[in-house]
Amino acid sequence: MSKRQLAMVMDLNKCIGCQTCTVACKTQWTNRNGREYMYWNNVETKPGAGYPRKWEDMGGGFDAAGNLQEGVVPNRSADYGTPWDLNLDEAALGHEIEPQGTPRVGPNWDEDEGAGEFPNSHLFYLPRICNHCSNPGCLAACPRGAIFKRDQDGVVLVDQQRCEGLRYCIAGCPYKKVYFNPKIYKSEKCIFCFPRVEKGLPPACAQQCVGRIRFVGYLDDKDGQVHKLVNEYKVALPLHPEYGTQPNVFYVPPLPGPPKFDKDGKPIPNSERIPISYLESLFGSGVRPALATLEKEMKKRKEGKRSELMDVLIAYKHSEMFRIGAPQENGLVQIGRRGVKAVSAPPVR
Amino acid sequence: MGTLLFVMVGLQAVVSASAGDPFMTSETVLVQEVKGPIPDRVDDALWRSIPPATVLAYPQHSLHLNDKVANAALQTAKPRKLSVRAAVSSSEIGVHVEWEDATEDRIRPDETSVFGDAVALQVPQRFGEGIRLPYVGMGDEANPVVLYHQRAASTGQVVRTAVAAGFGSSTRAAMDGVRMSLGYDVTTHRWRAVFVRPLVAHGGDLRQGLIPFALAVWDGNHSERGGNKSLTAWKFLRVPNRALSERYVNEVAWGHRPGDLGDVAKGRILVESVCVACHHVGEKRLAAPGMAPDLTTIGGIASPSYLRDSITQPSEVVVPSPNPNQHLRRPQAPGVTEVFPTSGLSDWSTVDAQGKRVSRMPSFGTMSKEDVAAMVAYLRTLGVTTSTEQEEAP
Amino acid sequence: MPFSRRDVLKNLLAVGAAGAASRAVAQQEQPLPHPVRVDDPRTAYPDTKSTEDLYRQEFAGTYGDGEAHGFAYHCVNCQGNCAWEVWVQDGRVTRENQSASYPQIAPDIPDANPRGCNKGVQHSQVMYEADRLLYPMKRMGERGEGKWKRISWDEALTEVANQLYKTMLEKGPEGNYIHVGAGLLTEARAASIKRLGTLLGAVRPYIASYVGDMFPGASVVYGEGNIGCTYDFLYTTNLSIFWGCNPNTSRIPDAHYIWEGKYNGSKVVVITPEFNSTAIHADLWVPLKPGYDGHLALAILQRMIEKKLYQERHLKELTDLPLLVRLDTRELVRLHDVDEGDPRFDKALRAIFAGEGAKDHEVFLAFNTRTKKFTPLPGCEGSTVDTLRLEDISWKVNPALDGRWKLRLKDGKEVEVTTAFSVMKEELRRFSAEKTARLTGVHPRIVDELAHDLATAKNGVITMGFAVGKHFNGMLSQRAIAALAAFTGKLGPNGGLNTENEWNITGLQGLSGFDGRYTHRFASGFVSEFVLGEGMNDYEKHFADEDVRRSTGQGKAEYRKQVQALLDKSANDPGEKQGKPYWTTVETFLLFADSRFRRNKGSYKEAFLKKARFIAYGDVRMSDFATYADILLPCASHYETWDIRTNPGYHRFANLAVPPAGLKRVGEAKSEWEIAVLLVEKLQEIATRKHRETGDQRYIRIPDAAHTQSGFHAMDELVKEYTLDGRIRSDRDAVEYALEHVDQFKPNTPKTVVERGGFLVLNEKAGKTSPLYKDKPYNTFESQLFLRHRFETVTGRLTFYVDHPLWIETGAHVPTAREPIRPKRFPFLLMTPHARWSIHSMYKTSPILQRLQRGGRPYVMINPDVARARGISDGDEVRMFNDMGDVVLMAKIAPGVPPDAVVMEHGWEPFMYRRKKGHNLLVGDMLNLLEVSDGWGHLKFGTNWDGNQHAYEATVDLAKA
Repeated sequence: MSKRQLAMVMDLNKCIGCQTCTVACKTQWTNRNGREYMYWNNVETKPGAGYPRKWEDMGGGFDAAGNLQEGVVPNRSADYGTPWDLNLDEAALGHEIEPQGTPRVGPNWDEDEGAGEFPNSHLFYLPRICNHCSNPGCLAACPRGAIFKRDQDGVVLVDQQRCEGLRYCIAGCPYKKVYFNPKIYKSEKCIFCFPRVEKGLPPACAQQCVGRIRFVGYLDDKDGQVHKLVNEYKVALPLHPEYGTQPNVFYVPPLPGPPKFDKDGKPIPNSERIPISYLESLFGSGVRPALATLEKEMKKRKEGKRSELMDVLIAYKHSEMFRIGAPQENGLVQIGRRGVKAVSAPPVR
Repeated sequence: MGTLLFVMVGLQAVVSASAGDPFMTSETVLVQEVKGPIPDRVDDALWRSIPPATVLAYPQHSLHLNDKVANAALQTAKPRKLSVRAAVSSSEIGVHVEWEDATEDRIRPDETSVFGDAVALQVPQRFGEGIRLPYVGMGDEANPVVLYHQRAASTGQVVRTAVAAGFGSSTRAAMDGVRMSLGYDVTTHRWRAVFVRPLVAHGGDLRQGLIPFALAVWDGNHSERGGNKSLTAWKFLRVPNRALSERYVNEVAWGHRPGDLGDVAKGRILVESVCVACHHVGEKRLAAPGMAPDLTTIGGIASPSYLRDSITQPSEVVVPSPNPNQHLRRPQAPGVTEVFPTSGLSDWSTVDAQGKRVSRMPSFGTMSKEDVAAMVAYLRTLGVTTSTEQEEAP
Repeated sequence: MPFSRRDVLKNLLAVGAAGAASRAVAQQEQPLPHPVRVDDPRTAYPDTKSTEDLYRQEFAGTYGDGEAHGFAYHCVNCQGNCAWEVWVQDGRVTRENQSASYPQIAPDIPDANPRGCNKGVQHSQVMYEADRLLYPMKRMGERGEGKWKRISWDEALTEVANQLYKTMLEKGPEGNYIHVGAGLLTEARAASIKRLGTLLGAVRPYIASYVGDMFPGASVVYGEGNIGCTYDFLYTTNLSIFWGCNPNTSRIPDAHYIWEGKYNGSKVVVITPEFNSTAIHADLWVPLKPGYDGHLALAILQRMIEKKLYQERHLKELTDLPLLVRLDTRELVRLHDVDEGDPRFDKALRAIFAGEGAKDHEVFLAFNTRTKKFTPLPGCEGSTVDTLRLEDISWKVNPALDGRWKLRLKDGKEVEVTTAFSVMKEELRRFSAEKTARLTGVHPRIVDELAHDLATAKNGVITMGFAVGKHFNGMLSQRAIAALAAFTGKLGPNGGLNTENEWNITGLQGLSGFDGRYTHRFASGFVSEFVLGEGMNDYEKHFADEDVRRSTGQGKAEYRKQVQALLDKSANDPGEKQGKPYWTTVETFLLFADSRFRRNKGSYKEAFLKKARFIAYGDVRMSDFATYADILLPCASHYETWDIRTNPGYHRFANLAVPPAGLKRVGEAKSEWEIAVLLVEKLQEIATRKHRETGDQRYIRIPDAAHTQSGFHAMDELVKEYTLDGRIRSDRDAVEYALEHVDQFKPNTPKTVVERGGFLVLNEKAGKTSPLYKDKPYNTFESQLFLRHRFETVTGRLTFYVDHPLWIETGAHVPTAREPIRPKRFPFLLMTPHARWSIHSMYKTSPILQRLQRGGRPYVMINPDVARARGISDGDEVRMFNDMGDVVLMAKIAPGVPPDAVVMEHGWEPFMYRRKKGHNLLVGDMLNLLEVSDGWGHLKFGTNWDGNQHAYEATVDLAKA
């Protein structure tokens, strides 16, 4: 049973959809050994089908009564998309460069599409990793009990010895963030880069996030940004709380975006380019209060007043966005080129 | 007991057993004695020469799993006819299994939602006089089993040997001298599999006249894997000229002989008035899901003696629970690092003060023998379509 | 794959063929283990370590021991320039990650970490891809046919040297064209090939111009095109306008400052035709009709004037708006025109401002309301007083912004004069918000809002993107936007125009030049490429007379005649340096990192291949252009060579590239410096041998009056000259030289840079027109704002008025706007903005990046209504065509695309399309007469005044393929 929970907050107002996180994760973990099709970290355009395609319709998670729901195991070519290769070796032969096969599905297929009608359409980017839930659907689904949460940080791992590749965990995860590795016949998933964390390095997706949207820390670290954003200001919300798994990745929801236009091209103030109802369908009832708080604090800042919330979200020092503990003790660390330096230890509760 | 005497008894037993004992005819498979090594090729002439016994494997309903596709298929799943042949040599014993499967499903190194057809042979780690048969679903803590498993793969088959003591507990174990093979005949659409193991190995001694075994098959086309499978009841390999204990035969044969069981109609009334409070039985699904094993096809996979014991002394035959986290209490959510409280709904057993695992099913030991016999009689019919019988060799 | 998972695969390996016997593992009988059962994995778990160790080992494999690594940046034309750490195991790069150790300049300014992007982060993957060039190769079949022979470096260099030498002897140095393209832009590495070209007198075109990434319109107003701020400055603004750009996609490492700036109270406005990835987060998005940027800018400017939203003092002191203009000729009044005997002429101030040594033809006048006299002004190009200050102990000038006066000229003629401001106001009336709304599609309400915001923002920046200049009249649009920014008086800490700041890096002459002994044969980028590609043919094919009339006011033939007349003046290095230099003599090409068939338009490829007698090409991979080379030279990749890079100035750091210890170079790749040194050695050997054999001097004395001091290229001195007497023979030597000689790098050595994390912080001298303060974000023109230093313009002032005859004739003497030239016959403008998934063509073929796009096929984004009307659905193959040709693309339906355009990320190489027909085949272009015009004041050919090739002038139609 985990003593502490490591969590992540992603500020969607700073996300630029560059996918540096996706590729950083890929080169760190998933460019080999049957994982090629997997994206432990992906970024999808919302509204959109996402990755795997239409994952929100694939079941899993718990009903209101707390019972695990049936789910499906996505198909690689139809739902994830086959990781196609290009015939680069034939460039020297004067051939056209083309993909192997004719891919119809991919992890970022509907990038920048969104919804609505020009000039009033809307979209935003939603990066997703494993939520390392407090109440994981994958863990509940495994008939062998072969999925566990680490004591020290609540990271959810699939036991690579005991997993028999049954894939009930994949059906059980409502976020479809457990993947089947057909090459080794076991399920694998985002491991929150715990081997990096143990060395005092933040997860690759977070440390390499160029938009500086990701905060990493322990939920019980009262001085940490994660705690402040999730518990104090309540501007960071879980994705699909109704799935009942208690996710530990939280999102600062996007502001509704620039004004829409009437038929004469006149801007319409407060016209909710991104419908709040849509945001609520993703992040639950906390959306309106969260946006209200954001707007209030932004206004304060515009007027030249201090705003702790803005200071937190601006994040002056990249290295201080991560409070993950030095290799041994749980200390606030500076990530330098040479790894780690413990500064001070946040309280362990 | 001295070997010599043992053999004597055995020989008598063989004689008496041959006298049209319904248990012997319906529940056992006669093992062919061969000289030299036992062939592990599925199409070896020897296997064709042995008359097969038909054994039925029933879709497993006791445990509810969460794969939407697999569960949908389960609703229409029919029992599978397995043709079983067996041979024994001085050092080895082999089992040949054959069954029909319209689709040849093999696991592939590049697909995520493809499941392979598979077959497994299960043998108790310990058996004999006074030793209860393990729970047929991969054993129980008191009575672990040995598993020999093969799954069809794009290149040949994937084999696995394991020990198990109940759901979710199968644990890989290296085992000596095992030979397995698996092959699909595209013209007859039949899988054929062979399992060969040494008589004395894997913590057990099979130099006996009556060897319990069970078989399971998986249809990849129906997303079957793990608990989603078809399973036989405990059956027995009957080895000629090997010790056969009358007492043991009587223990395992209970329920298969005239007079053992009671009135089915009466049993039905009892089951539907008592058991359905916790168990799902076919259409009768009053109880909360997962509270207790689903009895819909219990007649096909559970032996009468096990059914009797589970009614009269449930804590002697505890069935391990499925993952308790499938059922979580609502609505209150605890702190993030607390274990979310489970409703206990799917805990089929608890551990008492002495640390002994106690079934959450109350004991009905006080019931009359007749009532119990009647309930077993009815339960035996659940999910059962036909009864097994010897067939002529082709 | 580097990491074995055998322990996991155990017991899982598929065995034999179906039916064949198999044997479960383990050789001898051991007691059976006890079955492991986990009742509730969340309350207790038996063994977590075995799984954890598996991943720990795997991570160790990518991280090495945390020490065995080097530094690099990706020397490509994204201008991002980010410091990376590169990890190596067994001589092979496993992975890279951002160094992320840039220092924070002040506690209240977010730091620059972790600069980098989705492309840099995967370089380690593509550097080992199957298209990497491993060995020198010689073409065997037809060009592009794909028949090659592997040859040795010596064979390759011998052939290249022979070809260059042959051309020098037969056609002169100007027969050679030696160029390193946009794929390689750095101080140290690219200098190798530039140095080689200069030493041999070969032609070199200007990159920024031919790729269409120049800001000539900004040069008109400010005297230089590359101005503005480091991106952290945008964090400090109250208003950030992004005009014709999409920083969230094309400025990935810097974009965070915009959104942190928004949290810090800045209003973010995006002005683009399409609803792009930056617009989604903006406070205001302005859906402007493509190509009408100038009209909108002038509408805003007109509003500011109409509403008096300006400071007179600024206009009087720092702009040319008070300057006197003749009403008859529309020319500016210059000191050498006026009759100094006229009592209305201020002799006293003439003595001060235009004393001994003044250049009267470049001294301009205003009407001083204090003395009611015409007065020459200080700070002009020809003035003898350099300041723009109008009040000083010895003078007080208060120039009139409006008025009409009579002025007597030298010839005694009286002419009526007014101010540049009055003339501009007159022109601007045509561009009121109401009059332009129909063209721009922008509601006057928005124009009001922007005029008000710009006038009132304490610190406001207009960041102008490259897209503005990619339209045929883009230079005028750039100039209008620049004029708007200049009009607001925002300079230095108050913001202003931001194009692409450039640092002042001095001390590199040693690397690039030869102390004047040899000077480069520098060609106009857009003109030389246009001429090389026979661009006039495409002009004839693509544009109708009405199109040309709409956007130039002249007929198609007439316009062509005028452009041609200007081109003829500047062909092949005529004595007088007027106009845009280019050489029609080029026939032998030595090119590096230059995917020109991807970049160039219409029928360029055919024309080029016809003219190119010989093509030697150096690159890291088999790019589209590489497939047409005669000789291929495999180059070292970013992680395999030393290098250092500073510009452009999006940030204040210079990054160093240091190959990791123990890294094995792929194949026989060599760095450009190594290649160049070997080449000059080979050339010198060949030439001196010929000289020895014949005793004929002409074999070692190649005449070149225009670009050598001695009058010739000394072929027997090449090695000595090129290597600085042996000092610089490798990429590493060049980097060490740079660190030693560049003032702005001091104090630094490779050691200190490596210890810091692969970068150095530029010192205060790096700022051109403002100091680079240690603790403040940088923005240009502080010296002009505070010290009243003059601008590098002919009037010394922010320039609104250009009295170049051609500009007056075409009505461009004051800021104006013209319609796009794109043909009306086809319904959709083809917009090809900079890409998220590639740097131009660089990384376009990366499988890892392609998998995050559309199936490895070029795709085009289409408005849903347009798609519906043509029966096109998402994922369909569509034919995109006009009368230049047709190409096949995958359709991507996106509501953010306007109904009158289609959008596709640019950079796709022709060989990635069916039939190798790339989208640029559909693009015709024409040189803009005003961009070609030259020789007026500060509008003289150079890096500040060349022109752009225009990518946004093709209209197309679509059909389901």
